[in-house]
Amino acid sequence: MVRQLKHNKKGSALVLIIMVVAVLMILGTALLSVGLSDTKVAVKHQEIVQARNIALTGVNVAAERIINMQESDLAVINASSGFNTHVPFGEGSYFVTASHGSADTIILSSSGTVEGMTSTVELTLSVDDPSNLFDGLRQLAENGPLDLKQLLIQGADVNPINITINWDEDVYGEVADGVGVNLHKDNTDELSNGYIDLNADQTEAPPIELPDDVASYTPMPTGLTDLVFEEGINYTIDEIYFMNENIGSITFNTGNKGVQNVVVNRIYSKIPFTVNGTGTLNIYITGNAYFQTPSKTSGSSEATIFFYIMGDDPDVNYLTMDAGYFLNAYIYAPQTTVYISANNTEVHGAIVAEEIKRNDNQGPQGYFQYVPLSDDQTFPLPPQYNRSYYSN
Amino acid sequence: MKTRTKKGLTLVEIIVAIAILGIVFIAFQQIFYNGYFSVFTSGQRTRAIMDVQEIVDNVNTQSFSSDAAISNYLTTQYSDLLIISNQSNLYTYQNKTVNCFIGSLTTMKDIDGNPVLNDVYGYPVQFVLFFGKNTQKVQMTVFVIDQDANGG
Repeated sequence: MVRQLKHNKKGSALVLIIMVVAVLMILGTALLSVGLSDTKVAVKHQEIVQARNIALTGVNVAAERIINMQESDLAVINASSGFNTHVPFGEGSYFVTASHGSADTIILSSSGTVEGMTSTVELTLSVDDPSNLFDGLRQLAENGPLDLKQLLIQGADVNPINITINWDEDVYGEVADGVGVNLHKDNTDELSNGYIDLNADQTEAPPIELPDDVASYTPMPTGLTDLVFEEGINYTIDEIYFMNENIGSITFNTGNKGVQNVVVNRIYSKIPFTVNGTGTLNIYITGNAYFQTPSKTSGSSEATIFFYIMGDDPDVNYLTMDAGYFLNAYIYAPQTTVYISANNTEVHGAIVAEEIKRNDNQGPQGYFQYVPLSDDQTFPLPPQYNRSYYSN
Repeated sequence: MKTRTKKGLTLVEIIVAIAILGIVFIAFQQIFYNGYFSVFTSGQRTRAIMDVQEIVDNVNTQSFSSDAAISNYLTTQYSDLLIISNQSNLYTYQNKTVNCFIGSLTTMKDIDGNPVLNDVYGYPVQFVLFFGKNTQKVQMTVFVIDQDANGG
């Protein structure tokens, strides 16, 4: 019986068919499974790419925002709308945070999310601290990012200009023979007279930008005999014109550690002006300037004055520092020649200009003492950023 | 003498087997097709993602100061790209592989619709790339910052 069963082939075809069907089922299921998972992977990949693009958009917009803000203060940045909040965009949304990588870098981290898939892009902004921008001649000494092109200080045999550099770095570059300039380092070593020719591969000095909120400034009428800029108010004025040195007065009021911004198209003034307070006075001159700087400041400590001169007329921009004593004054005029005369005023500050010349027509010369900005002084120019991306 | 059953498969068995196999093949044909289609389509999708990402990367490396400049650049660079003026047509294939819609100059807005980062102006640019006999599509969106509007 066993033998009969053993050799009975009946039904074997069915078994064979069942086996074939089973194999086919396995193959079919496997193929379908592979296909479906492949599709899922492709869709997820698409969502990750979309998320990365959205994250990149977020980080780029945030970086643009920071640069527009001219701001490197994290507290200010993080308090701005658009940071630490979900912003919908495209197929998903992004979320941007800002932190410090080091003192000189801001790390922007942007997470883009699409259908639950997240991709993060980091952007590191290397900040050239604006407070360093006008750190006296340090930029010259350290091959900094500024291209002053040429610092030419011309003096006269009589009444020489004394320039003192109060920091450790050396001054590199060619110092040509000249007259009328005594260039000192740390009040000890006298450097050669003449001019310092900077390295040619340095980048351009950043252009001057007016404050963002200049449209909200209070217009000041022209033609007033006594021009008084009230404390706590920023002003725009078309022209400051006082060519009769015996008529008129100009008074600025910074308040105690306050900031006063004044945007003026032109200044032609032979009268000195007064700065009251201990704060900062920013004078933006969209054209050229011919004027005498303050005759006096008042308050327990002197105000700091920043002159931004946008004009590029090399024959017009004369600035006379004739306070007769200590004065904090910084001049940023990268497009033009600035003629300076000091009249025995000890000027603490720095000058960045296409060319700096002594104005021999303005009487006896004083001396400019270039010192670094103190910790609480910053130059309100936009920080310069370098970008480097990292994406996970 | 031993008698062995030498009978092989009968014609009936063969017919039944073929019938069963036929039914099974027909039943599984769709599964095989779906599996193959999924693999093929996902490959096409991956390729499409790469293609549209290349366009996005290209746009990201450029500076633009107007939507016309973006439009001109894209149409110059990509002959198979169509600038769509009406956003509602963005997802409709129109004889070009890529549809592109350039939104108007705007700023970002939060989930409540309030402007954020509102001094950064740019153009939301959407790309839709068609593949798989133009029945499937991949979409990417990028925000192109306007250099002029942002002082830049």
